[in-house]
Amino acid sequence: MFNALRTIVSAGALLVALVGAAAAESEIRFATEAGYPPFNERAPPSGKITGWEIDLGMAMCAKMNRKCKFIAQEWDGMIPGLLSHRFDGIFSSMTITAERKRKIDFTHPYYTTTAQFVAKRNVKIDRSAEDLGGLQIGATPGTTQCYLSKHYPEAKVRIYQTAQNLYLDLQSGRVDAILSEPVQAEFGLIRPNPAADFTFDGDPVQDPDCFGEGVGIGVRKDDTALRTALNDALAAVRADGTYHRLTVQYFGSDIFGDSSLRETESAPAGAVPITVGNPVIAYSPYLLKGLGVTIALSLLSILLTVALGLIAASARLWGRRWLRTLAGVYTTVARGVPDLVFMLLLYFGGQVLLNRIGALTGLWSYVGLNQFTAGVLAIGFIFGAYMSETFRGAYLSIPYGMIEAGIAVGMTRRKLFSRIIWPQLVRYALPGFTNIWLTLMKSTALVSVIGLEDIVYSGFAAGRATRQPFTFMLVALFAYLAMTILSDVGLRVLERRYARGVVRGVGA
Amino acid sequence: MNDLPKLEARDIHKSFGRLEVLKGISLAARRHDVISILGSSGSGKSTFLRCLNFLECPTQGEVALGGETVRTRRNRQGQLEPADRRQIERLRTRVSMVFQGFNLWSHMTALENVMEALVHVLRMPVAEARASAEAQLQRVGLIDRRDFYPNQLSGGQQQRAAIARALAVDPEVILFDEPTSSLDPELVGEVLHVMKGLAEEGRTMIVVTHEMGFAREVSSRVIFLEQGRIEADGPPEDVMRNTESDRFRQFLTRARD
Repeated sequence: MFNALRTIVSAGALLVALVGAAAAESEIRFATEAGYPPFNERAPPSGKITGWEIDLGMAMCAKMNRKCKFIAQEWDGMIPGLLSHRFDGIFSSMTITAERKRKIDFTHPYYTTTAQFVAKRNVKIDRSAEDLGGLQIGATPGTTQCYLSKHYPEAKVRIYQTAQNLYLDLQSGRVDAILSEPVQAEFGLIRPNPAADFTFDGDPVQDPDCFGEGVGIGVRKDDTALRTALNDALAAVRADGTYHRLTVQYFGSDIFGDSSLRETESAPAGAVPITVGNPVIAYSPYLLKGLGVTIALSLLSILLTVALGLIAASARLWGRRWLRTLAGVYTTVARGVPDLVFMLLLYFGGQVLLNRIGALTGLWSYVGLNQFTAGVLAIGFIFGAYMSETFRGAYLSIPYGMIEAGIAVGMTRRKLFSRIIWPQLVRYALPGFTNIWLTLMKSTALVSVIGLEDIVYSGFAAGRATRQPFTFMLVALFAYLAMTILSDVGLRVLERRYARGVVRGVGA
Repeated sequence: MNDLPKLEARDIHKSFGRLEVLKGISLAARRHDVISILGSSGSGKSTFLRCLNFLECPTQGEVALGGETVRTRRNRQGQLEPADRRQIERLRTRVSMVFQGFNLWSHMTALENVMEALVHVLRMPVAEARASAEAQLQRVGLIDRRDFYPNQLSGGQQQRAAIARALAVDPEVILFDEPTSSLDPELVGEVLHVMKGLAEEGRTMIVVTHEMGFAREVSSRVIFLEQGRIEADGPPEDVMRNTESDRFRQFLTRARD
């Protein structure tokens, strides 16, 4: 599934790449995953983006005399986002690889990736055997997976999309050992779980074929000016000791070159962001903001859904033949397309399309399709199709005699709609509407893939930063549950109101 | 002015596809006329009635109310349709209709059903409309049921409420489309009783019915439709006792069995 997703994103990127460059802006915008502590993460209480890379980036910008800002971007959208000018650089621990270099350029590496085995202290890894002693090994795709298949072709390897899932399965015992980037393993696994007694096994390994030439800042191929400026700034912070000071502050050692973390065991405890007291309370302002985004997104989407639903239902019921066909195609297509795919396509491809239309017609010069708008449009478009079927069915359920009686007393079309059709329509449509609304609300979670900071996104970000993913998953779960229960109560009241005249148990 | 028919239909034709249901029917209802339209099922009698207020659009012909002809134009399907929406909406307020299936608005109480057209079509102030609607419900014997919803009423009560709704706008003509056909036999009487009262009061009524007793005793004129044509027409005592039409005689014999 993720590979398919990646293909789509790449297709989006290709589309994006076809557009010309937007006007250069004075502020440099760096994208970060904001979920890879201590390099980049969200700090309580507001979810502010912090980390070693942010400090380093700001120090470099000071050298360049430029204003900079870091914006959060999900990993899958990094390269497409860079190419579509949503930001100017990827400053997010992106390893320099040959494949990536075909699409974008990189600055000189600002640190080097290595990998190291981690397991419980009592697990012995036979690193001389091609199958690593038959142990079940966890790895992440590309980097450590590549290393294992090259050096231990017989090993039993299980692949995880994120380091977080990798660590969770080492904890659960599904894998016996993992091969992981040591800084991340130190801060994301070993230190947060002292009781589990995890430890590094052997020395860090290196292999440029798999781990690339190091980690660099990704920039667009045509943006040589920025690349040069960043390289100069990197050299400057290396030369004046700023770089060294920051790495020691965060990691206890310099991670620029081959030097491994193992040489110095004494990273200052203060380097790990420790949340005092209840982490949920500490992050509550950030989580509430996410909840606000989810609610606003849901409400605007349902408005669009109802509007599109009414339009499409009317077209199918009363439209000319071509309108009926158009509405039919819409409902078929919108109900057949996965919402996730459509959202990605709209976010990455939609902006390109909009600007091409603008350029061709000369009607507008530049339109930015932000994440929120893209989310509302995608959800509204898809659920509008379901809603149109609900409305159509509801209309067809209205006994026609009641409508005829309205015509016969001389009602105008508007009166007929507002006095007779609408109250009946709502009554018949409410159960379907309720279903759609509940599903829609949960589908808003998908916007986190385009980097909109809704409750799911902020919950996962806080979970990564505190290394308490389950706690925050539960928070998100209960937030949705609260919203659905509240809507259920509200819609029940509405249903009772519109069920006027439908008295159960009292028949004619 | 008074000699003008309250409602006049001239040469009404109606086709559904190739099937011609009405083959040229003319009818004039004068003040105080109570016209019963009889006919076997499929004879086109309901269709004809529905053409009079353009619930159904005739294929050809004219309808006039109090001397005002409904302006029509031909649509793409070759049917006539009202050319002036405002005119037909205005004229419909002067012709009420009572349906076979009552067609009360299920989300409104009996009182609200009767008030609806007064307030939302004739724009009468609510208090005045309420008083007027209550008087109509009183008249049909439903004043104690005014706050009941249609599905809390029996069929006979629903049809009486529908008659009150038809009366509320003080129409010049009331069209009844088989008003007792979907009622249980024991409920037919109460509805016919109300209709008889209206006839005695001098209301102009056109009634499509299967009730021979009502046609004979209450109506001033009986029309027998057969295969889209008027087969017999005249005062009930004449036409129902010794008609020249064999078909009407057969129809009456069958109805007696």
